[in-house]
Amino acid sequence: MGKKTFRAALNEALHQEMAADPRVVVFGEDVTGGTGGDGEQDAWGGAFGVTKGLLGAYGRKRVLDTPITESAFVGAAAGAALTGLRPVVEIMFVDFIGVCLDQVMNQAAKFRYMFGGKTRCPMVLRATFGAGARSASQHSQALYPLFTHIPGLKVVIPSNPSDAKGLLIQAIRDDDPVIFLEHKMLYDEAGEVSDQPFTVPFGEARILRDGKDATIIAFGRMVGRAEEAARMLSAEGIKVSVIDPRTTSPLDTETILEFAEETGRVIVVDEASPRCGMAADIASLVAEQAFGALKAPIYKVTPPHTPVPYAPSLEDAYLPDAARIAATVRRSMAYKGKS
Amino acid sequence: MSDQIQAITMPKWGMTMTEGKITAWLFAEGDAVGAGDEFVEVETDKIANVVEAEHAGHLRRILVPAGQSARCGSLIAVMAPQEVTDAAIDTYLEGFVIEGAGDDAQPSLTQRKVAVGDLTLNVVTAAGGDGVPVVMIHGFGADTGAWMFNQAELAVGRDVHAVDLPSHGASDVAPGCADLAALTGAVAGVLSQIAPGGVHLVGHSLGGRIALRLATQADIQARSLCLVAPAGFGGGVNQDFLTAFTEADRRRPMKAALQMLVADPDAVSSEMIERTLSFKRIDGVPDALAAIVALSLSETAISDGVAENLGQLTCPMLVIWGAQDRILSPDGTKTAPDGASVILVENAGHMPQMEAAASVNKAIAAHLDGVAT
Amino acid sequence: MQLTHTDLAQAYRKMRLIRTFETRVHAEAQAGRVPGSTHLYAGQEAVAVGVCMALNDTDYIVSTHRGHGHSIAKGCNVGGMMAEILGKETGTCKGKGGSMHIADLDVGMLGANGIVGGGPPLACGAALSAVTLGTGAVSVAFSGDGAVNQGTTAESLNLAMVWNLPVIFVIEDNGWGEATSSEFATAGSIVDRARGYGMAAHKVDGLSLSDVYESMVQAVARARAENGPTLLHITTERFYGHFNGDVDTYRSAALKEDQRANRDCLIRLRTMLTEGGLLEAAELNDIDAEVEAEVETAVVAARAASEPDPANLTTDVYIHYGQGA
Repeated sequence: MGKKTFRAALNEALHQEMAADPRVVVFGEDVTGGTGGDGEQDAWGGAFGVTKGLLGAYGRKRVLDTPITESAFVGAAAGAALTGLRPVVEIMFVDFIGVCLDQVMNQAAKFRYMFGGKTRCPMVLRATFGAGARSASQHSQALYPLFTHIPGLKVVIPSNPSDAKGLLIQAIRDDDPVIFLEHKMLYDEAGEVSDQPFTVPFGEARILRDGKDATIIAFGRMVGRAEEAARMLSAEGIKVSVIDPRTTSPLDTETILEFAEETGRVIVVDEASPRCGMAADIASLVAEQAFGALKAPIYKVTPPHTPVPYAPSLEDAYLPDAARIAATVRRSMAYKGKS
Repeated sequence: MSDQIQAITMPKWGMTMTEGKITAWLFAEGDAVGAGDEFVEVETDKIANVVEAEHAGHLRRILVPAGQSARCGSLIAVMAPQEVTDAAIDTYLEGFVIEGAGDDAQPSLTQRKVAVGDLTLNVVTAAGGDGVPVVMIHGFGADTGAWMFNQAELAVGRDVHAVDLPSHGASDVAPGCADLAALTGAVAGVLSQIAPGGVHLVGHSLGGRIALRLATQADIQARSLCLVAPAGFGGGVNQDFLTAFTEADRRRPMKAALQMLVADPDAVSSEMIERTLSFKRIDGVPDALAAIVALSLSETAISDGVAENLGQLTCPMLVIWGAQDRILSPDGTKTAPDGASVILVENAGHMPQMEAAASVNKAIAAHLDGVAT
Repeated sequence: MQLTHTDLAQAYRKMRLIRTFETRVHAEAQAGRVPGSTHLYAGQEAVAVGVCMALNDTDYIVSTHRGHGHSIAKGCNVGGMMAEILGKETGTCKGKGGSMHIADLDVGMLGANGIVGGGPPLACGAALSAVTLGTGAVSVAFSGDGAVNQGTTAESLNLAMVWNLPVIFVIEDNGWGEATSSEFATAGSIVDRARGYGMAAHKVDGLSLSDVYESMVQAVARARAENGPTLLHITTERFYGHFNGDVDTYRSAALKEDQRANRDCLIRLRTMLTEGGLLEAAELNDIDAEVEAEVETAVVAARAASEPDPANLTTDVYIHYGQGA
């Protein structure tokens, strides 16, 4: 056990799984860095340093740099997964899914079903996501609702270093295609992470705190902001539960409904664009299956329906923050029905 | 005068706690507080708990109001008899020093790895002084966190170590080290390195059975033995619990299993459930737990040699049991030999050291103090 | 030619099987018994058969939407295929895939693909597996003249060279990308494109079984020797329209008659065999009859089979999904 960053936890997961299973291979753009040049090799270890050191440990046959050709190499990951490898392929920003969505959506996701259950496609597609780095519209999206929408994919969003390690190990061991999303602003966050290899199952939410007054459900970087809001509210005497579903597909509907029923007030915080997002998805689930227990409408705390802006003042206004989350909880607490 | 003034400090629960937040004072300044009364609620990111008053007194000053945080060991309130003047309390406050080195409060918890043959075991230490150290051994499926409300409190004048058993906590996962002899041998190996000159042993449940064996080994030099709901004292382990615990792989079944351990089901927090599930998901742990159940917790293995060990004991012994223990029946107290102190804790299940921490700490402290050095 | 008498008989049989199969599927489609669309391979048989003759069961192919020929040539079960096309539960994919998604990994057939250009990246992946796991296998990406212009194809050619993959890109040029001629849609020379990546590339007469086979043998040898990928631009003829609903008025009747009369790879093979004294006409006629019977059996069985049970609608999406939604 020790304090490790989110980045280091992911790196450790990759090392441990590559050591344990020779079929695990890693590829993507600059996963080593320096290939073909005369300078330092493994200069980057990935655009965000997550794959550093893997080249030295496992060699170029298992750690491969790619040209900037997402549709070819993401498709190659799907084909390799069909035929015996366990690829962990990286696209640098989830926004780039646009140039290779077919390989994920129409190929990897659908093989098992289209081929009558006779194949498996154990690939992991890793990508960074999320706003806050002032990277503007084409490098800041969340997009996990897009993947969650597609049957055949699993979608994973760790919010802390320990879950990052356990979920990545689980993803690599999982025989279905997994989209593994890493918030770019979380890489430097540190937390306690067990040294041994361990798994975190999909479809199981993490409960950060128990509180009977309201339930906040949040993903990725928003989990920390929900926690901050919970602390603020606790000082005011409002005790909220905070739930991190960790995976959007499969989704831990059982826990969400349990807490909806216990608290009667649900607030969903989602950094993804609001139309057809996870907030809407969860709100619909709760409205349909826990309607009788609700004391207030289900509220969503999301960005507006705009691309992610560049200027810091705009980007900060775009993202949900603890103050907005807390205000929304208070709104829920204050709601009086028309009876 | 000043020795009547009680310093109430922020407790330290477990390895990682550095500060806690006061969520509520249950008494106001000037109120009389009885010994054992719950008087302040504290929470951290992971734990919410209530602090009980160790001694009776009047709550004279609240120094950290509700909603604020304080570092572990720092002063949060002062209790004193009504006769003590405010001026005396002011003087006391000026002179109050947070004991212990560095910017963390005393007693600090440190962690290190100890090699025993091929195995590496994790030891958590609360530094407290030069006296004969205490070593605490947790039970099946638990870890050093089982002692989180006890370890720092007992580190007065002596170090208090807690050991993670093989395949538990941060110790190596070793499915081959599963029978009682092997487990005992591993802990003995740790003791020879951290307490070579003698030890006060404290064991809970399976850890209690191990502690009893160790106490009979001359080389261990056990100065005292405290057993909390020890395994093997007549009656088997609740097999339903063992099954529920080993099979639980999601929150709900895990919660149900953990609730069997305590008298108050609400005492099982999400954090505890999460922690236990995470433990069970470490590679190799399920196999190791199954091996321990088969080899150390079976009907025969569990009571094998207990009578013999009890007969061999020469050191003072304290047995603590929760009256509502559903895992190992409190009838086991009857197995305690003549001369042993026996305490039955009301409103506590199988985890009295957590469920009634204050009174258990008091009992253990008295037991330790009563041992001729 | 290095092929033996038996090899030739088998090649002829396979090609005849494809032709008969496609003719029957056409009939079933016209009769309304094929749900959805189907894309017929008739006319192109020498390509599928010539290519697959040079491969083992452990080598891989990735196919296109026009995949029946490739599937049969690689060894997929004809009965299963017919049932799949008719949407029955006894189909190769339990009725869940249909004509465009027939696959059988046991014979190295990684699936027909409904996305134009979807195949080449997958074939690169299969080749990567072969290299990493040291199996010595090669993979073949069948693409049409339409797919050759897709970005995925260009990227795959590049990736195959950069990673030195044992993959063979077979561009099956039947002159038409749907209803648009490849002459219009394809700029420059396909072979030159591949050579632009430094890749070995050849143009091949796809009406000649032996030409196809020989060029594949070379390409396979190159791949197995770890000398990298090859592109084969193989010209051929598509007899039917793009799909079963295509009336195909964009090609003149005269052109189509000419195809059937003068550019039928089956007739060419038959002629070459009989005139070369390699096989008797009678032998070939026997093969024709056997094949007719085999396909008839498949059709009858497929028609009689049950449709998939709606209870199986939600199975086979994941291997294991876990709790919740």
